[in-house]
Amino acid sequence: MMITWNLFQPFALASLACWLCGALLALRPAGGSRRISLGLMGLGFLLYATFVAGLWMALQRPPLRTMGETRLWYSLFMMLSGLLVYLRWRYRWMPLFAWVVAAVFIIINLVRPELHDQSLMPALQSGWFVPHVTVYIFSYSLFGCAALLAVAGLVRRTSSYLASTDRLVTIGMAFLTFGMLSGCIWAKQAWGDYWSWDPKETWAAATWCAYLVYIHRRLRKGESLSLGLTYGWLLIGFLLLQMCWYGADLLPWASAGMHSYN
Amino acid sequence: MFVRVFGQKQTPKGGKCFPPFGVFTTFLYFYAQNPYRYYHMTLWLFIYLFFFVALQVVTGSGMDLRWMAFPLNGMVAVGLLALLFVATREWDRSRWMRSLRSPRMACRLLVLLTLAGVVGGLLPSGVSFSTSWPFVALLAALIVHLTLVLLHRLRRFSLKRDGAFLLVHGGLWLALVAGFVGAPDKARLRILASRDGEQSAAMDEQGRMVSLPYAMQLLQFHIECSEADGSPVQYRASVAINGSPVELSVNHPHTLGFGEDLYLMNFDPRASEAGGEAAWCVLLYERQPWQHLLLAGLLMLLAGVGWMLVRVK
Repeated sequence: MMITWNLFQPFALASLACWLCGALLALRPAGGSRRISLGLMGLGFLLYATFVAGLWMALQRPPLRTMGETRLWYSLFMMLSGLLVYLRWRYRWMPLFAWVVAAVFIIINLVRPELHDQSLMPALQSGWFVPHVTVYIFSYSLFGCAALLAVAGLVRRTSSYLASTDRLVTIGMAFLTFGMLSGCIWAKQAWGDYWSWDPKETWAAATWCAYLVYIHRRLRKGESLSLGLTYGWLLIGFLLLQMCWYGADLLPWASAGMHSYN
Repeated sequence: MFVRVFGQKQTPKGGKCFPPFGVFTTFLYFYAQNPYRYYHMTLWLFIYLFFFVALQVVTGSGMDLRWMAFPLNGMVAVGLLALLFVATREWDRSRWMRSLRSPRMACRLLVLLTLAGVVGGLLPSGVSFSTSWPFVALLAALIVHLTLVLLHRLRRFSLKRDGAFLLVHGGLWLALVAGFVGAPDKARLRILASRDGEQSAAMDEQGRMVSLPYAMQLLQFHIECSEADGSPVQYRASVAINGSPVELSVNHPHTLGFGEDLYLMNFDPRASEAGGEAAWCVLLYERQPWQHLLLAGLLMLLAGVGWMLVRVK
C-alpha cells in the first residue's frame, strides 16, 4: 500500500492523540505515569515517522520540496525538541507546549491540503531550510515561556523565577544561535555573504543581543541590579523576536529585504 | 510599584533635542547627580560614540572602506592586537582595565548594539547603517572589549572550566574580526554571461567595470519545473569558465579560487516562456579572502554554545 497525502489525516490525528495523552501524563509529578507517558509519545513518533518514511518512498525523493512537506518536518522537530528538553531538564509542561505548536502545523496541513504540492521556490530548495526554521521556532517557544515567567516575576515582585529563566534562556540561546549561524552558512551558499544586514537579519541580531544582555546581567551577581530591568530584558527580547519573525515583514519597506521572496 | 521595581527613575529633560544630543544631555544629568558612582565608563562610551555620531552628521556618509584594503587592514589589526596584548601584560589589574573587560561593560555594549539593531531595523532600506561611523565605532569597541576579555582569560585557563567560554567568545571574536577587518577586501561583482562570446568584464556595486582573469560564456540554461504545479524548482546554468564547463544552480555556487565564488544571480526572462531560450544570465562573483576565518569563528561559536547547552544543569 502506497502512502500518499490522502493518508495524512489518519496518521496525523493518531500521532497527535498519542502525543497529547503522553504530554498530559507528563504533567503529573508522580513517577509511575512517566513510563506510560514516554511510551505514548514514542508511539506517536513511530506513527508519524512511518508516514514520513512512506511518503519518502512513494515520492522517491526526500519530502522537502513543498510547503506542505516542510510543515511535516516542523511538527516532527517541534515535538522531538520538546521531548528532549523534557527528558534532559524535567520541565513537565514542555511536551504539552511543544504539542500545541506541532498541532498548529499539522492542522494547517489538514485544513489546506491544496498547499501540499505547492513547490518551494529554488531559493528555498536547500537542506538548511528545515533546520534553520524549526530551530528558530523552538527557541521562540522557550523565550515565550521565559517572557511569561518574567511577567509573573514582575507582578509578584519576586526573584524566584530567575533560576528557571536562566535555564530557559541558556537553552533558548543555544537554539537561537544555531538558527542564526545555520542561516549565515546557508546565506553564504545562496546569496554570497554570511551576513548582509537585511531587515530580518538586523532584527535577529538585535534579538540575540537582547538575550545576551540578560545573560550578562545575570553574571554580575555581586552588584545590586534592579529586578525590573532583569525581567524587563526578557520582555524586550521577546518583543524583538516578534519583530524578527513577522514584524519586519509588516514594515512598509519590507519587500526590499533578502528574506522577502517576491 | 513603578519606582520600586525599576529602581531610581526620574523623567529626563531635553526630549525635544536632536536625539543623540538629547540622550547625551540626559546622561550628563544623571552623571551630575552621582559623579563618583559607576557612571564613568558609561560616560566615556557615550563621549566616544557621540564623536562618531558627529562625524557621521558632518561627513554625511559612513566609512569609506577602500583605503583600508590589504595589507593595511591586516597591519592595523595586528598592531592593535599587539597594543592590547602589551596593555594586558602591563596593566591587567588596574581599575580601568578591569572595568573595560567587566561583564558590566559587556552589558553596556550589548545594550547599545541592541539599540543599534532596532534603529537599523527601522530605517528604510536605502540607508546603509552598517557602514555608518557610529556603528563601525561600536563594533570596534566590542572587538576591543572581547580582545581584553579573551587575553585576560587566556593568562591562566583550564580547558574544562574555560573551554566553552573561550569557544564562544573566541569564536565570536574571530568572526567579528574576520568580517570587520576583511570588509575592505570584499568584492561583489556582476558578470553578464551570454551565449555568443566570452565575457571577462564585471561591474561592481558603484557601476565601475573591473576585468577578471576568468572568461565566461553561457552554454546552456535550464529551468527545472515541478511536476505537480509547474512552478520552477531549480534554475541551472552551464557556464564555460576559461573554456571548461561548470554547473551553477541556486544554492550551489562554484568555487573559482581561494576566497572566490561564483553564483547564479539572474537570467534572461525569455527562458520562462514556452519554448523560450535564455540568451544570457547574470553571475555574481564574490571575493571574500577572509571568509574561511569567518566560518571558523562561526563554527567555534556554535561548538561553544553546544558545549554550554550540554552543561546546563
